[in-house]
Amino acid sequence: MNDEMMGVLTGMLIGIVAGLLIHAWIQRGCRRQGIPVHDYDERQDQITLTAEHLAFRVMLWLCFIDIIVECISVPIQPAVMVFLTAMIGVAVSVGYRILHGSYFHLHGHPKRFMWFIGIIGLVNLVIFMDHFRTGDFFYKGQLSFIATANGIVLIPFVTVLITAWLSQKREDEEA
Amino acid sequence: MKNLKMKAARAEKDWSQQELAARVGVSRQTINAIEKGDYNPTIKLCIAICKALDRTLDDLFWTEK
Repeated sequence: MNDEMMGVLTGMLIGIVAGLLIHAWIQRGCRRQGIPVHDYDERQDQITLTAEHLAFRVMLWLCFIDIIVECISVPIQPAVMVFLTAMIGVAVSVGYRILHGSYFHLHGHPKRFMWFIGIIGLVNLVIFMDHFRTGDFFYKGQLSFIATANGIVLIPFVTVLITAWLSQKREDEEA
Repeated sequence: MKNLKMKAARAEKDWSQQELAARVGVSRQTINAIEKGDYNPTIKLCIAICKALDRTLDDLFWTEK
């Protein structure tokens, strides 16, 4: 395993651990206040099921495209296609849920969450732009996962920010 | 189909959708969806809304044809 791949794995591990720690911190805060951690109403639960079904269908179709890309030998590393499929699936699910008002649970703080997403997205954007600066998008003639991962991960982040903005705009109009 | 009876009952109490949602334990968007006719609540939620608005199920959720 080379240094760059080690760096990618370390970054992913840090992200997962940070996510788990934040989740544990939120759970602790909710327990102290005596409120449920994930408190969704019946309509939100239904929307979530629909969103997951929709995301699953989109990802299935994208898997066909991934196979075609592999068969016709387009110079893209397989990890790029797999990660792209996963991130588009996440974006579809989260975007649908936000637009239908079922992403943030009853005791959620949408604005705080948006700021958090914005900061993480910005970090990923900076790392991705650095690859433009160094021009290292290809490895052994294939579009590299290491160079594109931070850019691909921006897909759900941007989706969240846009759909949350649209949802908030609709909230303000309905209020 | 829009639920204007529920909207009228809420207006009588001078409650916003958010206030009714908080009393019933659902999101504001769910109350909005019920009033617009975009969502059919379960009987459990219907009863909770009726109790909050001091109305019967017939008053709020029966449709005349």
